Amino acid sequence: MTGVIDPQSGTNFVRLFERIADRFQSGRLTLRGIDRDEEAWIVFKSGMVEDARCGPATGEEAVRAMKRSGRWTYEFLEAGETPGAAGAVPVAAKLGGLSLKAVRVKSAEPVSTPVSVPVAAPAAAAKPAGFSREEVAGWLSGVGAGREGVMRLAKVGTEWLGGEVTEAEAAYYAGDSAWLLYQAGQIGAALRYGAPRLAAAVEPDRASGYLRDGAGGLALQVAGEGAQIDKVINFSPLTQ
Amino acid sequence: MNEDLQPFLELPGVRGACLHRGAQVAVAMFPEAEGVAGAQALAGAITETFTAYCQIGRPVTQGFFAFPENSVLTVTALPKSAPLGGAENPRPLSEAFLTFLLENREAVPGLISPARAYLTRLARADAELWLRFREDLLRIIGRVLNRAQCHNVMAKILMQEQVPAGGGVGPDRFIQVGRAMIREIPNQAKHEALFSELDAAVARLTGA
Repeated sequence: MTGVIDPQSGTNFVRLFERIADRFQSGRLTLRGIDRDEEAWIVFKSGMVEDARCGPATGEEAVRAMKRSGRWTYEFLEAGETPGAAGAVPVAAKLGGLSLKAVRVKSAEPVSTPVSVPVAAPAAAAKPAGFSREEVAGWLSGVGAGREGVMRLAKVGTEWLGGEVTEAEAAYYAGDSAWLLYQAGQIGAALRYGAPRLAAAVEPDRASGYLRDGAGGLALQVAGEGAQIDKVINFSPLTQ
Repeated sequence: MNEDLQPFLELPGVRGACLHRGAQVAVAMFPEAEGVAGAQALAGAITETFTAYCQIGRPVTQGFFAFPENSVLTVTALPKSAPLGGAENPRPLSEAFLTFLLENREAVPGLISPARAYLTRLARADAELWLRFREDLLRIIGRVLNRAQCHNVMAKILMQEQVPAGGGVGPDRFIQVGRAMIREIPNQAKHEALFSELDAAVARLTGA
C-alpha cells in the first residue's frame, strides 16, 4: 500500500493508521519526506505501533515528530511482503482512505439474550494468552450486559461472539480500537506507565470502549447518544 | 484552585486530579510518583489525543484509559460540533479538562457528574470574565480607534484566534487575544503603552 500523507488535504496519520489496522495488522510503514531529505519508519504488530524512528527520535517521540513534519510519501509492507520496485508513490498519487464516518455503528441496541456462545470451542479458535470462550461468555452475559442501549461484542480468534458483525463493521472496530489504544499508549507514556489494554471515549452520538487481549482478540461495547463513559468500561471478568 | 480539586481527591479510588486548559496545567494534585512533571506531560498527551479526534470531526468529551499501574479519566466540555478549523487551520484545544488518576474503574461513576458540574461552573465564570475583559479591551483600543474600527478589529481577531461567540476562552488567552488586537492598530508608537494597559487590565481581572 502506498500513498501520500498531506495534512492540508485532510489525509493524516489517523486515517492511515486506521487503514493499516483494518487491512494488515502487522508490517512496516516507510515514510519519505516530500521536498526534503527525511526518512522515517513505523513497525506495526497486531494493529499497534511496536517501534518507530524519525531522525534521532524513536518510539512515541518519533511518531509525534512525523506528525509535526510536512508531507510524506509512504509505503506500507505487510509482514512477509517484499518492497515494490517503484517504492513510495509519487506526490500526485490518487489517495483512497477509509473515512471514520464511512462505517458507523448503526444503533447501539442491547444484546438482550446474550449470544448463543458455543462453549465447546474448536481447538484453534482461541490463541494462548487470548480471551477464552468461557470468559467471553461470562462477560457477554454478565453485569451491565443487559443495560439499556449497550451493545457488547467480542472477537475470539477470528470469530465474533455476541451478535452478527459484517465485514465492514469488523474493519471499523479494528481501526477505531487500534487508533484509540494507540492514543492511550501516548497518554500512558507521558506517565511512564505500561501498555494500555482498555480505552474508551465518549462522543456526541455514542460511547465506545475497547479491550484487547494481546493475542488479536478484541472486546468492545458501544452505547448510544447521551451515554456516559462508565457504561462502556466494565469488561470484568476479561480484565481480571 | 487547590481547594476546587480537593473534594475530588476525597472520593474513593481517586489518586490524583488535574485541571488543565489544553496542555497548560492550571492546578495539579498528583501523587509523588507521577508528580508535577507527570501532570504536565499527561496534559500534553491528553490534549493531543482530544485534538486529533476533534480534527476529524469527532469531539470527545470523556476518555478512560486503563494501565497496569493506574487508570486515567478525562472529562471536558466540548461543543457537539468540532470547534477546530480542520486541516487547513488546526490549533490544539485550549478548553478546560479535568483529568484524574484512578486506582480502578470503580471510581468512575462517582466522578462524572461532579466533574461535569465543575466544568459547567468554570465555563460560566469564564464567560462572565470574558465579557468584562471584552469591555476593557474595547476601552483600551478605543483610545486610538473609533467605535466602528474597534468592532471591526475585534471581529477580525476573534475569528483569527478562533474565539467562539460569547467567549469560551480561559483568562490564560486574554493577553494573547488582546495583544493581537493592539497589533492591528496602525500607529505602532502607541502599541507599548496599550500593551501595558492591557497587562494591567488582565491582572486586575484575574487577580494575578
